[in-house]
Amino acid sequence: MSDLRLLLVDDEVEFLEPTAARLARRGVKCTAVSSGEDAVRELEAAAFDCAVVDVKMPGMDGLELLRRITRDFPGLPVILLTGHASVELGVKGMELGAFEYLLKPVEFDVLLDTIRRAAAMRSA
Amino acid sequence: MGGWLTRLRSLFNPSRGDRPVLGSAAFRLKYERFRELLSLNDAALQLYADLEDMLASSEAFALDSTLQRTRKAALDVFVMVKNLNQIAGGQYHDLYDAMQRISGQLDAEFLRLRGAAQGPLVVPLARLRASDVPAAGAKMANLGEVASRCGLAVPEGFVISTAAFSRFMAENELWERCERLEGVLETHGPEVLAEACAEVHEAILAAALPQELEAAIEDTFERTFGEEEVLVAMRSSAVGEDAVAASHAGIYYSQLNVPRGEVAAEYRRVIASAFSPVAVAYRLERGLTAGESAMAVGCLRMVEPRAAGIMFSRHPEDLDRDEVMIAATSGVAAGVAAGTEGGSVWTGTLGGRFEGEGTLLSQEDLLRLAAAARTLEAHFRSPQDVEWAIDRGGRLVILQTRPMVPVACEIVENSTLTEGLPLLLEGGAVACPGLGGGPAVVVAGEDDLRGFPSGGVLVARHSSPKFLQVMNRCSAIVTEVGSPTGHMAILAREMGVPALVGVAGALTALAEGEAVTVDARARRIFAGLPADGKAGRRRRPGRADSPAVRALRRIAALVTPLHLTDPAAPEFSPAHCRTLHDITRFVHEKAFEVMFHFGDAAGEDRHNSYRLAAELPIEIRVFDVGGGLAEETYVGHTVPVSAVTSVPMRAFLDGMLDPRHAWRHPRPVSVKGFLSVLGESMAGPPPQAQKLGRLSYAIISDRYLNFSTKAGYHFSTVDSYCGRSTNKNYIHFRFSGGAADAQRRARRIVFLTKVLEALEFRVKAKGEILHARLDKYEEEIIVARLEDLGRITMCARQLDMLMDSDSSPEFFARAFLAGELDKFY
Repeated sequence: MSDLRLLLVDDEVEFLEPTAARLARRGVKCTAVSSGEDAVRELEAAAFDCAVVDVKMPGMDGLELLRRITRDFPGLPVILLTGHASVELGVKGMELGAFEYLLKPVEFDVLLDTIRRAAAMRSA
Repeated sequence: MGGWLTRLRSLFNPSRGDRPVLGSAAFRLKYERFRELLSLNDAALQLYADLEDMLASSEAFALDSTLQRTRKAALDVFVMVKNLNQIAGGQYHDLYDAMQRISGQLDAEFLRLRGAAQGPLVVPLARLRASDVPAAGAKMANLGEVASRCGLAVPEGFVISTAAFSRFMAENELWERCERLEGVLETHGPEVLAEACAEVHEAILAAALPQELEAAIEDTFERTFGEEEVLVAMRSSAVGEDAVAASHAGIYYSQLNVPRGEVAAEYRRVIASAFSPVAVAYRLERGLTAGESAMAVGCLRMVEPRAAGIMFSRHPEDLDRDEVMIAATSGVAAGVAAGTEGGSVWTGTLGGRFEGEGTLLSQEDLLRLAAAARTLEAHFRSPQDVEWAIDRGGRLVILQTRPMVPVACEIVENSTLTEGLPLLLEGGAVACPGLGGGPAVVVAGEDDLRGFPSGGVLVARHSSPKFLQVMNRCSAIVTEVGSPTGHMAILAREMGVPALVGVAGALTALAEGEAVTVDARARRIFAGLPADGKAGRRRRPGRADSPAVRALRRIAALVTPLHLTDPAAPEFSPAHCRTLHDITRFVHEKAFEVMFHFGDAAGEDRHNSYRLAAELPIEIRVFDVGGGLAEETYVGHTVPVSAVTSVPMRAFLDGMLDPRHAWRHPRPVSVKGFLSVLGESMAGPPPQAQKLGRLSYAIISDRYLNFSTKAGYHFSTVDSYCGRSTNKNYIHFRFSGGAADAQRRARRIVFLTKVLEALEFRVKAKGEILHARLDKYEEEIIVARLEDLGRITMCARQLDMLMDSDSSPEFFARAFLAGELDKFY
């Protein structure tokens, strides 16, 4: 079976790079980008099993990207990540169809498990 | 279908040497979300109970750490809503609206408490009035009032406002660190607080003043004092300072004789004093919020005094005495105020002579001061504590005025009322403290609540939020099972009804109609009523109406009240959720409903299950969602009973495998019964039976069981959690369907009702469907009841054939409860 293909979107490079590297070591083929706009370009160019998206980003934020994904790439599960936990963001994210809403700092194993589950649900 | 599951298995079948994950990912995910929901539910209920306790007790609490917990709880409840929607396929989207509504209201309260002040950064003193406390702090607002409305002189000057404070704190990211200090003291004690305060102090002194603020201070200084080389006094003026119940006398820092160039540095020092260990401890003790530490700073021209001091417009030992007390010293009065200097003291009345020592003040001075004190008292409508100075030109200048602090009354608790009464019972947990007595009224079911007598002591096996209906008539509540964090306990606190929960043997010791007195705080129950007849409910003494208590009350109103008490009521809906507690309750209830049908999906997926190799007349397939089976690899997807490590499954199996079952030899049935069953069978089993085939499914974890079975023509589901935490434990049982005629089916329901009620289940039967619940029991009891359900499940296979007369239900119920299982075969 081929690797799980993940799109990881976060403007925080300190989070993005080490996380992508760790995921790669655990068999997740990770495409890491640091903006919503770049994410859309990647989505148009290649197929993914799951996207992990930071909520707070300059330019196109995570919720806007989620909106775009549910509209243009339906069925792709999106896991929202946020460092600023708020009920309002959570509600918006879930109502927009996020697969999961995780708070930073997120435990790596929890993130990995959620990614795998999201991808599995997509296959189902 | 098989494809993704195969892939999934390989995903979960990691190369890192973990045990293989059994069962399907979908089940595991659903189960884990359910489990997370349950533990969040517990944490939320704990917070609700704590909030109620804080409001009920007179003890000090750190508002800010409480607010942080409340914020966290709102997020937790959101996660509960999210999880419910995830396990229920988005059925409860309306809950998101309710969540957002309540959370929005909470946010508005939080914002209000944070007190992020708006407005000008610097304000001339002459422009201030008493109503300007939020902008200028209490001390400076009052001083502005004195100058403009009382005809008394005050020093020239200006105030660096609370808006400036907010800006300074925000730009330097200091606020977050400061507002946690009360919590540090509460949680870690004074030593850790001292360290934390020292760090904060250092950070404040090192912080830069916002440029705009620095410019505004220089500009106003120039306009107020011109080019003149003046010295100023920098005086603290916090929002919560100078209130009646919280004088803050000497808590904050003020600095005299500050030259122009030092103003910014001294400003930081005054701000830092709002976060000294003593200031933090004081706020915690007096129930002030960090919002009330919002600090304005007065910048006032120094007065060159001939004499200065403090005066009280009334005698401090007795505010009713018509005496003014005046203390004075030569030069500035800082020492008198701090208590390091006694100065000279005079007392006297307005019309008479002042008695005292020394010659610093003439009788004329004293009378002039006393008159000023009384003017201030009349204006501010309360006895005043006034700092004053008489300058070298003889002009009287008021430096500060604030309400005098009255002597606190001591509240005596009467613990002697139960003296001489014989002790009946002791123990349990305090759900709501207090003393109450009256006739014991045993409540076995909801029906007993009707006609509950006024003043009765409600005695029940279980606590239930339904008791709310009679709480205004209860003088006390005693239950054998229940937790102080449960719904009922919270309601009891809300209603102020003394209540004890978890009192073993209460139903045996407290006889219906007998007068008893409950001392909930002491966890004791006495026979009879106190001799003085003060048996009625005793309300708790009133507590200080501090700003923190008021703030907490506003917050708690959005959090703790429970309006959704009856799941059967039409109001039990997301639209009627008004508090976090309502949402919690709703989610909890619906999560169980959803999990109840957890097994339905199991019939669709045989690939991820194990066949249980058990000596039973039914085939059971097992899905392990975590820790339900021993960690071994099983050949051919078959597991022995010995591999089952799930506590509830094991108990249930033990009941099914009870050697007293003689299921291998079904007894000959009466012809009538047999024909009845046969007749219904020929019409074919209902569609669910066809779907389920002959299989039974168990979704298990170490502490969880969801068992669906078709035994004979009955369908039954057992859903249970069985762990060490009594509060989380439950068994839900549902029984329906059946092949026999309506009469036999009705008898079967009667049989089950009798048996299950005897086993302490709460039973609801409608038509041929029966629901039974057992909530919040100790692990041992849950295990025993699951064994009973296992036995019932096996015996039930024969039931239709056995129910051939109206006396059958009673006969077989007795037989079952007596352990005579052979009678069923």
